[in-house]
Amino acid sequence: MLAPLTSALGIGVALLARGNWLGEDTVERVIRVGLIASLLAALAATMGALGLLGAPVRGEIDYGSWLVVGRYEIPLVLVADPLSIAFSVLAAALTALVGRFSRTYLHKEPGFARFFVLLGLFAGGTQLVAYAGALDLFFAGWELIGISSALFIGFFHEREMPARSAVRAFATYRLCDVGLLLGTVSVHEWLGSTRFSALEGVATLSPLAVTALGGMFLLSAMGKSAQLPFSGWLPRAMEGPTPSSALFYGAVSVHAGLYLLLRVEPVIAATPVAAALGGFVGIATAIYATMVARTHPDAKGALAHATLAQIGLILAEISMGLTTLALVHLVCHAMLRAWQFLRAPNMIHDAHTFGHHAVHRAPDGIGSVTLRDRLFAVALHRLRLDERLDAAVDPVLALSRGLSTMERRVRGVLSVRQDA
Amino acid sequence: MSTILSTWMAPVWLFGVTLSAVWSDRHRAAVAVPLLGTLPGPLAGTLPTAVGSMPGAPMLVRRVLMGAQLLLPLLALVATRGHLAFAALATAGVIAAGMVRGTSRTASIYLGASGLLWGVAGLGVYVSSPAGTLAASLLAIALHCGLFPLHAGVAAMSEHRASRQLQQLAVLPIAAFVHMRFADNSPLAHDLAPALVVIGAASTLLFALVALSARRDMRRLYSASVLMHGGMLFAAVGAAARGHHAAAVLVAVTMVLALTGFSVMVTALESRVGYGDLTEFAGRARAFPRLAAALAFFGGAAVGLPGTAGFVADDLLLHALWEESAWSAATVVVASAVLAVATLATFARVFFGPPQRHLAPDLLPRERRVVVILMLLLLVLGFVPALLVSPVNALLR
Repeated sequence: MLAPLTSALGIGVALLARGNWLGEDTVERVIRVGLIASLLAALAATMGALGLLGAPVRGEIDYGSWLVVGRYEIPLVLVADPLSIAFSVLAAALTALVGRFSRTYLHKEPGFARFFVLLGLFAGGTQLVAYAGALDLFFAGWELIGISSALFIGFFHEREMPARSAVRAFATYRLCDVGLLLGTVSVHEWLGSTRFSALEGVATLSPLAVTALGGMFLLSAMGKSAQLPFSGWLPRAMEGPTPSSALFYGAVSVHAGLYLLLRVEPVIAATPVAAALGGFVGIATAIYATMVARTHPDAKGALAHATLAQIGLILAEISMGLTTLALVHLVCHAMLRAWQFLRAPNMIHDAHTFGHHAVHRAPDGIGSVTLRDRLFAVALHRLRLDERLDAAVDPVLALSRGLSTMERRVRGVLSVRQDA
Repeated sequence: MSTILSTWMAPVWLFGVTLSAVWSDRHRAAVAVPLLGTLPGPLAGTLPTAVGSMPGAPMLVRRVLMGAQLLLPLLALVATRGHLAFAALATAGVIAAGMVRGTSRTASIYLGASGLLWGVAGLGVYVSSPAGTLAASLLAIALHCGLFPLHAGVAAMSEHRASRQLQQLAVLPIAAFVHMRFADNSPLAHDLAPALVVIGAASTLLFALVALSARRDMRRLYSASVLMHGGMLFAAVGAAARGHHAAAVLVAVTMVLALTGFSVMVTALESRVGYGDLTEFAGRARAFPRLAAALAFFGGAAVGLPGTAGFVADDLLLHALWEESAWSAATVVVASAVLAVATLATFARVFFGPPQRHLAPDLLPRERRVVVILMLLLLVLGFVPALLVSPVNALLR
């Protein structure tokens, strides 16, 4: 996980210090070295866990503490188990693949170096998420994914729409991350440690506490995986370059929420309320996204909603306790979507060259023409999710403006006339 | 002359911090905190605007006073007696009030008041009145942090493009340190902790929401960020009475480093494109890519970007606050998220959009030096927070 981070930091510092003297080849090579090192390390970890390099290395691997203050500790602990290894290899392989693809795809693009720096940050973040053995470390990787994701969406920042979409996606991420952060603090206070292994003791907590914990983790997962009602940012995220769409919104980032739920599975299993809510949200998202995917006018948007539908199903599987099925589903789905997203530009080219044939048709038995028309209209407008969320946020913005005015008045009263 | 001196002071400061790391825990604490805390002082001199002014005062007098302002907080740190430490802070506060008078009279009055309150706190230590010491010191910190509704002074300074405001920031970690060392060990402080935490958290949320309404104006965002962090620091100082010293020190030092960087970059931007309310996307990333990257880094560090000291500081603070009041911890988490959104929204407004041509250059070498030093410190403290936290905690315990 350090290799891609180091390569990204190296390129970032060089750009900051010296400007754009680094050529595309140099940038790509340095980042590629980091990504390949990350992939090799993931493969080595797999072999180590399988016992192919000597005695099997599984479970928690302690590297001491990041910080110890009194009884509070941020442990530097990694975990090697089937879940972490599967996610790590998946993420490392797809990131390296997308890195190679982007070298050609983004050739002579003004933001070439920026793209690769962000790719390195993202790769470091995903590996940290995959191997983190404690919630604090997990949160650090989670935030790196979120920030790089928002910056990828705003990659073509010279247009207004990507800039607005980046802020919207980041706002959704960050507000939902409140759940993960509070969950981390709660786990430490209630179970004595933020290690994932401490979650085994969740049965000793009161039902209310477990439900609250489950709800907090679910909230974060819903934001990161764009589940209802936070799905609005995903189609907007398609403003970014195609390789980043493939990696983030087809393959890795959008599945990170599900990975979180698989990691905290003891909590979800112990709280029927959170599990039921997760199942409901997952199935509702799957139905919604299926409808929208069939009416969406652009290829990447339709793919994004098709991805959402499958993610909803995986969420429902996790909520039902089918964790192995969910993991297999996650890995296979991520690979398929990465391929589909990377191929999307060619698909459009093929459609123009060979003619386009509508694939999705409304089933004959769905009801009257009026009902079908209504469903079509609902799907086309995506349930007006964005408008509804905007309406929900409006009171907060009004409060913010009101507080700002009040603050200025208070300051005016307490200032001398020159500064008021 | 002062610019050259200031530019060279910063690496010397960094060298001092590195050197202090090899000392024993007790010495390290006594040296690292003032060195890190007063870093913005020398950095302030690298700003394109004039460093503070006392109308009518000869240059020599001003330089002597500036030197005193750097040395007095250091004296406050190394003093082993409470009344001496508070007296040093009080003198520094009064000098700061005099020097900032030409820029903002409100700020001058507030700084002077906090200086006087530190004087009272020193007197309280001298006559063994823990309650008086605690009250005066807390009130002085509240004035210096910009706790609502006592924020007019800090707000005036940070909105008037005053480089002097960096020195106000610089005193904060030292004031917190002196408070924890000499005023915070009475049963009254212990009992007051939950109330102080709630007050600090409420102020934090209020200013985070104010920042949300400042999305078109980078300077106003900066001002709201300073005040929001002031609330966090006040909450951390409150929690410190129950043993959470490390959180308070790390929050204070991170606040100083990240907001100094933020301030330097905002000032650098304003010196190139002016000051104003942006109704449209301004598209300045193409013209000032390094400035944009540095501003993004410092803005991120201020809201807990992983890998920087801000991440560890936020984590530590939340655990400290949770033990006093879970609702306050939740409030601070929400406030931090709101500030992060406001920061990105403002950043996007200023730097994204159709590119604009500018004749002004990107970051100058002297500005880059400041950026690199602050980035290094934030990263070092982010990866190895124990360098600062462990010795301070050991000393204060």
